[in-house]
Amino acid sequence: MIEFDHLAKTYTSQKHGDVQALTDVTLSVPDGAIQGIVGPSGAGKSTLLRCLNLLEQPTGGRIVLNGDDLTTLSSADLRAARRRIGTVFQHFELLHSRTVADNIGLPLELAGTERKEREARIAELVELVGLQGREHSFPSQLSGGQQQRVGIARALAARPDVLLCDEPTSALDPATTSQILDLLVHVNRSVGVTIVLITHELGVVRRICTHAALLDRGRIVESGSVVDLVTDAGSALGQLIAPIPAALAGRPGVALITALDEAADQPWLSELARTFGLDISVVAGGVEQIGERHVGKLAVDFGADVDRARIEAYFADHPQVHLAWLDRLHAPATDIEEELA
Amino acid sequence: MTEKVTWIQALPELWTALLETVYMVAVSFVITFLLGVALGVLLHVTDRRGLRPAPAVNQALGTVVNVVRSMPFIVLLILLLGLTRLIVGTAIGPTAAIVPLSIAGIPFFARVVENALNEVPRGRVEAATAMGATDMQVIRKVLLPEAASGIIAGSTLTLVMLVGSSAMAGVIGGGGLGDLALVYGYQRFNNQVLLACVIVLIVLVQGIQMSGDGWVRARAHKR
Repeated sequence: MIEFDHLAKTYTSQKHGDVQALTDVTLSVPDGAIQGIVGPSGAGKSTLLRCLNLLEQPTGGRIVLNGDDLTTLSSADLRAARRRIGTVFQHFELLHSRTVADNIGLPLELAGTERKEREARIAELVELVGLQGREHSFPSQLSGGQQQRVGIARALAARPDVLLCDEPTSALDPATTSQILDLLVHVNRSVGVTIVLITHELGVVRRICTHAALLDRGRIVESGSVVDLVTDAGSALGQLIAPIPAALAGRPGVALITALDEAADQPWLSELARTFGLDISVVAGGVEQIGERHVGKLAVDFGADVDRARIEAYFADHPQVHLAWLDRLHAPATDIEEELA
Repeated sequence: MTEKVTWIQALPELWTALLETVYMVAVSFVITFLLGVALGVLLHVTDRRGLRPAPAVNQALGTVVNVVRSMPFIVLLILLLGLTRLIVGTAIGPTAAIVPLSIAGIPFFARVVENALNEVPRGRVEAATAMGATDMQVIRKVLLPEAASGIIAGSTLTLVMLVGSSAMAGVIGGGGLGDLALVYGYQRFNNQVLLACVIVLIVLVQGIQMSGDGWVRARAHKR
């Protein structure tokens, strides 16, 4: 498990005085999770990344990886600790003077692993990321997607506990993005490595993350499992991940109904109408795939003078289906929504 | 007045002069390369944005480099006579010329190396650091290999510069093609031999430039 415990980072510059890039980042990422950290630009994502891959020392708080505090290490221990966190970069950052195989082997070479062992590990990783036959190519001869595959293989080479991804698909086209996201899920499942993914793209979170956190102005303002977030009608982050049209916000008699997996496919809506003899109309919604799960989200108009208590009682008996009245919801933070795509 | 020597008659002398030039340039280039790379790495690493920022060291080194570089070679040659005698035992001849050639070459090449290292994307250096590389590993496995094409191109430039400077070594009886051209062309008005010297120099410089460019081109996929 990796925990960020009240992480803070303040830059001191002569020109601008103290700049607080991170004020309070507290989050614990369970083993095997794909943790998304989303935030608008300027929220502190880059600073957080540089603190997490230990390129910068936080000015407050701790990073605890499987019980070890990584924030108070001597320089030799720091180098060893860096090997426990593999980083995948937005712009790949491969060495262009080296072949694919030698790029993948670099972390092992730096750690002093013997050539034979290194070669065996490289072969394994080449297969894992699907680059068979390209081992002796140079990065300049590869497409962006292939380069990112090399980047992922390289980050995994030293068998890190955590794979840290910095906007791993922002430099790629949509088709390639989806292949790389599939690869990350595959790596997460087959190797069991915990992934921390920093991004401004909600689509990435929707697609692969099991957990999500919202970073805003240097602090984590909300976090949780993606399923909990999207089924919690009061969650701003859940609203961002699976949004409902803003025009409906506050309309009386309209409720947001969320259903998970099998429940999303069941005819509870018609059952509801029959049971109560109601005329109900669906004003927005659909079934979305979030990670491996199906989430049905419907905005349903029961009419302004509906007996809310009776409806709520029905939903209390159906724990797979959640209900929330839109006029009781807080409007999602629209400035963040606009920043995040 | 005696008959002027034709270029054919001067061939043995031309050959010796060519060998002397190649000797001076080659030895001073090896020294320039080794110390220039070291100095260039130091300049890059101690820079404000480098691996180990050290503004005082950086400024001191930079000043020395600039001072030596601002000196015309002919002046440096004369200034260094004492030092040359101390190192080589004599201030005359091709071996003696190696000292001022190297001293002129090192700071020039150091700047070339520094520039090539500055061209290496910062992200690649940080990626290696984030993998747990030591500063020495970053220099050996990232900075120098990634800057290799730039360093090769800069070596071509430096070699040509050394060939040019080595011609001035004739002033201290350094031998080589420049000396020969000076003796025949300037002191004896023998244009034929002068021209022959010039042609050999042109061919030499062309050869260096073309091999350098060819090597850089052959590495295009590694950039």
